[in-house]
Amino acid sequence: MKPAGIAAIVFVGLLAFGLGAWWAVTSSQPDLEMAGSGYVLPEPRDLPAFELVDGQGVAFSQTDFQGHWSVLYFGFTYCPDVCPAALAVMAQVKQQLDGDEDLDDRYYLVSVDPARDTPVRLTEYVTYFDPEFLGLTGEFDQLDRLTRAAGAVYKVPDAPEDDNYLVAHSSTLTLIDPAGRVHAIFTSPFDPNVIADKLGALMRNWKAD
Amino acid sequence: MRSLLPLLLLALSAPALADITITDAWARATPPGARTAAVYFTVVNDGEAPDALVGAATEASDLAELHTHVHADGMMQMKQVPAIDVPAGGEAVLKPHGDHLMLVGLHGALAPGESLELTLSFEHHAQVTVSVPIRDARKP
Ligand SMILES: [Cu+2]
Repeated sequence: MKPAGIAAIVFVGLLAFGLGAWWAVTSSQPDLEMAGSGYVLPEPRDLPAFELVDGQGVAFSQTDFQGHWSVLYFGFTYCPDVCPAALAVMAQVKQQLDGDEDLDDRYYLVSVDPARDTPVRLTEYVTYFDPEFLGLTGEFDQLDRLTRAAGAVYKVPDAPEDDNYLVAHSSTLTLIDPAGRVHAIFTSPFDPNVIADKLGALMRNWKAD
Repeated sequence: MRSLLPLLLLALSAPALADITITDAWARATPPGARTAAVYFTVVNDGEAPDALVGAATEASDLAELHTHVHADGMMQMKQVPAIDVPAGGEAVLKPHGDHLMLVGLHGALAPGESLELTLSFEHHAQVTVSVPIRDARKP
């Protein structure tokens, strides 16, 4: 099994533990729980150091999330069903928040399938959903650092027979605050209106500490 | 009573067979450069015998695979399945986030407003060919 495969299994454990922990905390503090649509982390979580590439093929590290809000979806472009639906939701959320000039919010598809999703391909794909959407990808060990912190899990087959393999992945939207910390996680099924409301409120009420 | 006789004769002469119709077919329009696509439809079986969807073909792609979604370990995973059951007097619904037909090796982008020709094969029923409209699903 490749490191990514083993790591993915470890992440599953971490995710299950993490969700349980968040639930324990959020269920006793109703203001942190978003009515079944997701969770606000009781303490924003720092991102570990990582080195990915953006949709232009330019290096992108954890510090590039600082100074603005970021919404991340983890998926892959060969995904014909779940990912296009999620990106359509993300586009509707963005459109609803576009009217607020004070918010600097950016939206990313992080591809966990770097073998097929080149930066060029990623950009071609994401801009179909919104011209301002951004792509990120990278080596598995680097992706794993981000997915682990962002509460996402995925599994790419170890030795695919051909180019038509399928990738398993969680379907969540992760919110990263302008300090570059994981702030909230929205779980599917997604309701764009609910997410836009919650997201807008979180962003407007946020204060740097 | 006399008026029922022809119907009765018709019913007696027809063997218990699946009676298949396809409704609500649509395909998700694809982003530029896409190599895969998803097709959704409902298989209605008005017959007295169960049947199963066992295959599909279209000139729009190299392969048309029957897929289901498995939720496990916090992940959504698509899995190819050999057949999708269609109960007698019931239906099989292929829809987003559930069972679907996945086109692999697309020959070109699926453009909204156009349609693709799809031939479905069943365990018992004869093949059914449907014209599937392509829809831009980016808007709710
Ligand atoms: Cu599929």
